[in-house]
Amino acid sequence: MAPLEPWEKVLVSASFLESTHGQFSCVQCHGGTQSPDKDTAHTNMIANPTIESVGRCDRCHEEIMAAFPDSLHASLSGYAVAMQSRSVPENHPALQEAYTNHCSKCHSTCTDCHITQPQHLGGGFLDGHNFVKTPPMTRTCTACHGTRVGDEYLGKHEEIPGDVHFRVGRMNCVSCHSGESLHSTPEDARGNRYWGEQSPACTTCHTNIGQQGDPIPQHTIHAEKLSCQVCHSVSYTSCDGCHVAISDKTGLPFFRTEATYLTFFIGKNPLVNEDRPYEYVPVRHVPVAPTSFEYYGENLLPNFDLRPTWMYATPHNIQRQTPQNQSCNSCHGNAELFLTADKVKPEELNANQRVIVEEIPAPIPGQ
Amino acid sequence: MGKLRIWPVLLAATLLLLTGCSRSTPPVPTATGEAPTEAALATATVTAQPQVNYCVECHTDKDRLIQTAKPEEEVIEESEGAG
Repeated sequence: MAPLEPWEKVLVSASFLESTHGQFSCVQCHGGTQSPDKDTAHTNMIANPTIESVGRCDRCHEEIMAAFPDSLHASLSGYAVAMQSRSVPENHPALQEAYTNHCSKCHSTCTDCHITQPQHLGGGFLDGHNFVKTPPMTRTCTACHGTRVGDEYLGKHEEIPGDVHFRVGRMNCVSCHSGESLHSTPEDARGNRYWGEQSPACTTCHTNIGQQGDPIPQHTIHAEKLSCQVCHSVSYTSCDGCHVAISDKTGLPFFRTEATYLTFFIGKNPLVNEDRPYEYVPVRHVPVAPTSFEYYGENLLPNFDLRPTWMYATPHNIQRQTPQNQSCNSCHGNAELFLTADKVKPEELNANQRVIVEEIPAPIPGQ
Repeated sequence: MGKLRIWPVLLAATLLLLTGCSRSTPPVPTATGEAPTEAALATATVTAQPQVNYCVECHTDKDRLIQTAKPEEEVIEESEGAG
């Protein structure tokens, strides 16, 4: 995401004044006062009115705004579930403080996608205050979802091609992730994006997969045993040991991640549910550690082992041909591809019992 | 003298007729972008931009913004690694 100059961030385009949203008076959304004096004009001004969206966006976009507060983009409720499920209730206030200081800034508002670049990355108008109906991928979506999704999808890792949907299909995020799914989250998926219905699902477009007439028999053989990404994704980012604290020097929150590396491991599906019946899925190491929040108190994650550290993953670097789908025995009998106990840190073995593959699928004779 | 008296009356009548042809309210700006739905318009109240809009005057003037924009404080970034 290109950084903008301070003046550039707030330069309003003449075309905005002709647009639908430009028909509202400035103070109607932003407060402040009409005055030739900058300080007077900016007194009580609300730079980002959608933080207090009531009475603003919902005036016209009532349906979207009714659902948006419960969406993962707005609520970040998955963070609370991830933190609290490794902890105990008496530690929740300390974890809440850590969340507020370090995680909550990723919360997004209408403005962060439709008017400016995300505020926590510096902000600045996308197009002279014009409201952009489809958020530009690299200035909004991957500005936040960059390290994993963005880098994988755009092919930023050396010698690993970008996702075929981008390289060949020139598809952007909203080609698959509908506005509705970005503006709202079904109730059953508010604690984890992988709990609810698969949306998007590969089969929404690839409708013939595993159906009569599908020329690839492996799709039928593996139907509900493997998620699509087991055969069609390649190495993706894993992270270790994120620790957060408040700086003694600046008083500002910061984080340190111990390691970031590329892996491709197939693990047992830790989230088997009606919509994800797969036995095997790719798993990604998430950056949590037992001491991630130790700045806020001792042993804040006493139930660390209740959740795996190698988590269900949907890498965004889909390829038609991958090393593991070259032949049956590229995968069957190939222990290197599977998350076996020897690849898990000894102190994380208990946490990952559910995902560790104990028995590698046997080689197929004659293949 | 009688002919001269009729001219002010004719002038007043002409002005009265012309006033009747003029708009009773100032023109309303027309949006060129996507229009809100009727239901939305019923709840949204647009307050027209004031005649002298100081906000717009300043925020559309690149040179003025360059002069007046507050320089951003450089923050020492202490975070390390992938976020």
